[in-house]
Amino acid sequence: MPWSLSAPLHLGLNAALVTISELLLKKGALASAGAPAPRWLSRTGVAALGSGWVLAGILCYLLSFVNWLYLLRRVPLHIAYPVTNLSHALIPLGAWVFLGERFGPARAAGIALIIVGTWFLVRPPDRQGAAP
Amino acid sequence: MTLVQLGLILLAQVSQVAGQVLLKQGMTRTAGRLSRVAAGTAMLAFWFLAWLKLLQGLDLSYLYPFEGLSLVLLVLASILFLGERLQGSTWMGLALIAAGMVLVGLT
Repeated sequence: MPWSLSAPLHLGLNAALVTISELLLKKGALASAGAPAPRWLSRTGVAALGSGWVLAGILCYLLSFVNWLYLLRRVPLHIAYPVTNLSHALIPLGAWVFLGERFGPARAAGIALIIVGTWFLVRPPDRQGAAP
Repeated sequence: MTLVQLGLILLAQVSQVAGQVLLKQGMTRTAGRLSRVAAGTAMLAFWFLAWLKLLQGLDLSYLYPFEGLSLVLLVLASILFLGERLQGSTWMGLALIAAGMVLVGLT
């Protein structure tokens, strides 16, 4: 199998694509914040769909989905799922570095709790009781 | 975070989970397939548009942790609609996620 199909590479790629996708969406949402939208859609971000950042974000999101389907075939879920959930850490870090967002220890601690919590939801089969 | 934003977060996450359940049903059943796939797609589209709206007003590092809500809702849906029974560790995970979201919400 060529290196380009290796499972660890695609695990990292998935976390990266999910992170980049959210950063691009945020960028596009900011760029289009004042753009006009039909009144009945004003509670949605439909105006942001005109932003190139958002379209790039959607593209990355679709790529991450295709990549996820590939991972589900190659890697056990109890490995793929916790790795993907690292996006909960990567996205705030990316927002700090690339978008200039600042937050304190309370938000960081809350995010850490969420990540640990997701690890409890999917565990290796041998530690699981009777199959549901 | 305003009450409207909190409501939109809840609505968006509920429709994301409902949309995924509908798509799952639509792909595995033969009866009513098209209507379920259509309804599921519409709900996911709403989730996405609501997410864009929320991103316009909230920090990404503040909003993204609330994606954890979809996991909580998905587990609740699997109990209510699929009759699944959960282990202690799952409840532990849900409690941690919920506590984390409350903590982020307070910042």
